[in-house]
Amino acid sequence: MIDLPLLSILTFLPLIGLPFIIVGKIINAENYQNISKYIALLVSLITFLISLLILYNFNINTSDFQYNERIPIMNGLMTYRMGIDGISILFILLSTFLTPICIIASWNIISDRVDYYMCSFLVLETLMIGTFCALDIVLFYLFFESVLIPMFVIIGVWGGERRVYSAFKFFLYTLLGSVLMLVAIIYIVLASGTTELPIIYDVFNINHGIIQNLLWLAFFASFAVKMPMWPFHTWLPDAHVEAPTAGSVILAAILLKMGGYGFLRFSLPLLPDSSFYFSDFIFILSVIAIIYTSIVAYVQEDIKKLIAYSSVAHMGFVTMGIFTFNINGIQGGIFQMFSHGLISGALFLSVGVIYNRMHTRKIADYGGVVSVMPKFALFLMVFTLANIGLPGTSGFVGEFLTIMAIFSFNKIFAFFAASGVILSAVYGLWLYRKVIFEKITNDAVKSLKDLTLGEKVTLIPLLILIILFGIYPAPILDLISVSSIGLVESINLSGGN
Amino acid sequence: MVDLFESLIIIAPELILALTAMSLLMIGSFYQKKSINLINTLSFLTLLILSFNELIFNNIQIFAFNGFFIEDKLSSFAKFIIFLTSALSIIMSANWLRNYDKTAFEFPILILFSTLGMALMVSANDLVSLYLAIELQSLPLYVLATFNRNDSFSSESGVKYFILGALSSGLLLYGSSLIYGFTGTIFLNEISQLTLSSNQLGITFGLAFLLAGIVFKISAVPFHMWAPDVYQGAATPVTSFFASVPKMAAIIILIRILYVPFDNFISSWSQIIIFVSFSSILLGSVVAIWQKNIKRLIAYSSIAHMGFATLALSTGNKSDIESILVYMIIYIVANIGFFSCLINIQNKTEKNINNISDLAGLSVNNPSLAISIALYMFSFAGIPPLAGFFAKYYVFISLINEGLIFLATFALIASVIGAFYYIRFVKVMFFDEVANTKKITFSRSLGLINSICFIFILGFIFVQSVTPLANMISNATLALN
Repeated sequence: MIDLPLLSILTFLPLIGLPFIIVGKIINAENYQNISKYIALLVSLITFLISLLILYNFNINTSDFQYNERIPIMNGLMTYRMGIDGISILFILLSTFLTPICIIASWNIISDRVDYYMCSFLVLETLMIGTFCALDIVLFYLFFESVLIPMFVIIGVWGGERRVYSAFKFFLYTLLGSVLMLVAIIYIVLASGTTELPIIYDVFNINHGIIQNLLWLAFFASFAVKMPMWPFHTWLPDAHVEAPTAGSVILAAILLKMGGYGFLRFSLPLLPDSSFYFSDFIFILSVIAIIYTSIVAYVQEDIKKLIAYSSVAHMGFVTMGIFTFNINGIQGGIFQMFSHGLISGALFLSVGVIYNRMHTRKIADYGGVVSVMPKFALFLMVFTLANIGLPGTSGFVGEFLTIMAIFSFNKIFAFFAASGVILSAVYGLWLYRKVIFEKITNDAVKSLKDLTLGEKVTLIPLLILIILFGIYPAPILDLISVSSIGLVESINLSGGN
Repeated sequence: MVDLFESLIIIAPELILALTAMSLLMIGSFYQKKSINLINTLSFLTLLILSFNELIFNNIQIFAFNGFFIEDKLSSFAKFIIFLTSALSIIMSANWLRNYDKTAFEFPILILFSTLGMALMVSANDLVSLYLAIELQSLPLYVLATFNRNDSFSSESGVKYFILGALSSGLLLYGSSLIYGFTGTIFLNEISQLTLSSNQLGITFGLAFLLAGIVFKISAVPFHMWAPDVYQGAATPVTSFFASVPKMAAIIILIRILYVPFDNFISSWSQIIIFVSFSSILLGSVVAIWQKNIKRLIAYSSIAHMGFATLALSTGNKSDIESILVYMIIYIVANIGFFSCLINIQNKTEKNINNISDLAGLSVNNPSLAISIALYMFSFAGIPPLAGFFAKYYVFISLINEGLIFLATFALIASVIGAFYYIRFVKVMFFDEVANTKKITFSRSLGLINSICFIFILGFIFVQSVTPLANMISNATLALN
């Protein structure tokens, strides 16, 4: 059973869909666009099943890497090393779970170059899974950075009016952050003489000083842009607004998490002293992110932009949680990332639902949607409340854990972070009232139809998971706890603390 | 030392090339129109056979003609690449040539002569043979630049290239004479023993002039001015040739000049190289942003790429030659691939494809062309997992290993600026909405070349892991130790 290279199969399975789509295009010119949708859906569902199989055989009682695969490649330059622990498997599941949903969500919406679109999503899925599986520092960089190509194409080809500007901004901003990380990676590889992460963990050890701080800042440049943290977040609202619905979902749910994952995988274990040294800096940025972007979200006129800013605010909790160096904080941060993946995905899908009917994202164009789309109103209510962090939804658990951890670390920061929960209620409920309630001012709203079957299929699983993990978060916490404890224990601060 | 007969055997590939070129010239002048296919085929086959000959028979290190000619792993490897790329250039230009002028049989022959010059150049072991070889490769290039003689741009570019090229040859010759004057020898390996006991200032002076002449050939800043005009004016197959083969030869001779005779002057020349490479990267990346013409843009892009390649020289460490060779191979393959697409488009469409905006909407009806060009552009920009990323990765490993971290950081930031104009190609082809474009099929030869380049660039990880390329490169690197 374990002999199969399951992680490689999981990672590269989505690519199997590509030749089928191309062959479909060649032999059946009439209907190939439909065929490509079915192929993509089938492949992504099989990938999801394999990820469940991996979860089924996953041992939650060890913090060691599991499903290891190791092949030296490129004449010793790097190693193809894959493996997962409790932290990465969570994000792998999130990726494999959301990709089929994204494909269903795009089913009737994308009409232009469907085959390219499906290929881009399958490639994107491979790269996302690969990023979380890679245990070689160069291999990680390869996957992490390659994500730019399909995402650039998705935003640029199927995006909204200002798609070119947004795609370029996304691409160059992220690239600039990443090249700095590349310098740090090369430095670490040369200093430790290997590219394999588990060995680097043991070997790489430099004293806290200017070099460690610079390395930390180089990693920070990449992850903070990806996360995104204030003030490196400006690409995100543009990218979110212009990307097609499914692109926004993947962007918010998975790509942003790569930043947090990077902090957990690299910054904390490799550069612990600098992480500790800069933790106040991270807290300040996070507090600004939470408060400032919440306020900015409140004045947005565009629904997607509002959700994008709310993402930045929620990511503030994640970074704060991670840099508390405390088991609650790290678990809370990871849980918050997972739950934000579900919630922001659900919110963007909901926005997609009304956008496809009205072709406007302006809040002012809506109002009174509840009278024509009651089911949709119910779904959006649950998602909005989850985004606010209401107890009983998954949004609560992560925020509660992180705020608790921050409280034990620094009470002033905890105060500001907690105020973010109130602020998120302010803009969240305001958006809900403006869109769903109030009088119908726009005649177009009167003729709206309620959710179709396809839309329900995409929203119901998310709704179930958000409530399930809100009431009973234990499965997720069990999955990540051993690895998180292992991570916390592996952080040896040389001085202080 | 080996005697004359043995020397002739050592130099046999170059002799065969010279004889082939001359006999083809005779065939061409007697049979004119009828012979063009024959000449194309024969010159292609000769180059192909010679390139595999270099692959199979290569010597550790052997001198011919009393040290005028050196044959080692580095020169063999360089000749393998040069012959192969020239052979590809001949096929790539065949269709264009047939449409352009059926009587122009001299085109492949000029390429042969220029290739001969380059082969002698990478094997040159004294300053005189170096100068003669450089002239032999340059003169056909001047003619090739003006080959599109109905086009005033082409004539202008040829004249510009000729005048500036002559100036650079003058600089090179002046530098050589200074070095000869101060050391009393022209042999590269003897110079290295005499440099320390001679007048330091004079040799540094000579070295600077010598470098100026060679840097001109790789079109790096500050001797880059000819490149945009020549690239733009020349016919596209000629541009493709300019952008790939002579660069390889010039880089190899640059490596040889710096590491063989001036091994003891690393501290002097590494500053020059740092300046040349960093300013090339910066200028190539920044100025290209405003370019609308495809070939002009590629010219600036090649200036930037030469900057990256020479960056690995600035460490002054012989083992970093490996990074340069890897960089050059990846650069050449991506270039050939890109130009095979561009030439194919130009052959099959009536309207002129000069500006990037002429490629608009290419992805709608020609997905294979659009995806190929996009891949090469992402590779030029250095996005993983494409080959272009590894090219930069090798160079930066060399730099950081020598402690040049800040140089590496700035160069990487400049490469992000460069990424902007590469992804503009993708934007034009994929994002812009344009009315129907014509459906273009790949001609067989160009399609084959493109698919080989495509696979190489996309699967460089496998190429490097599985094929003997990596070994060949490291053997070539060891040649100078």
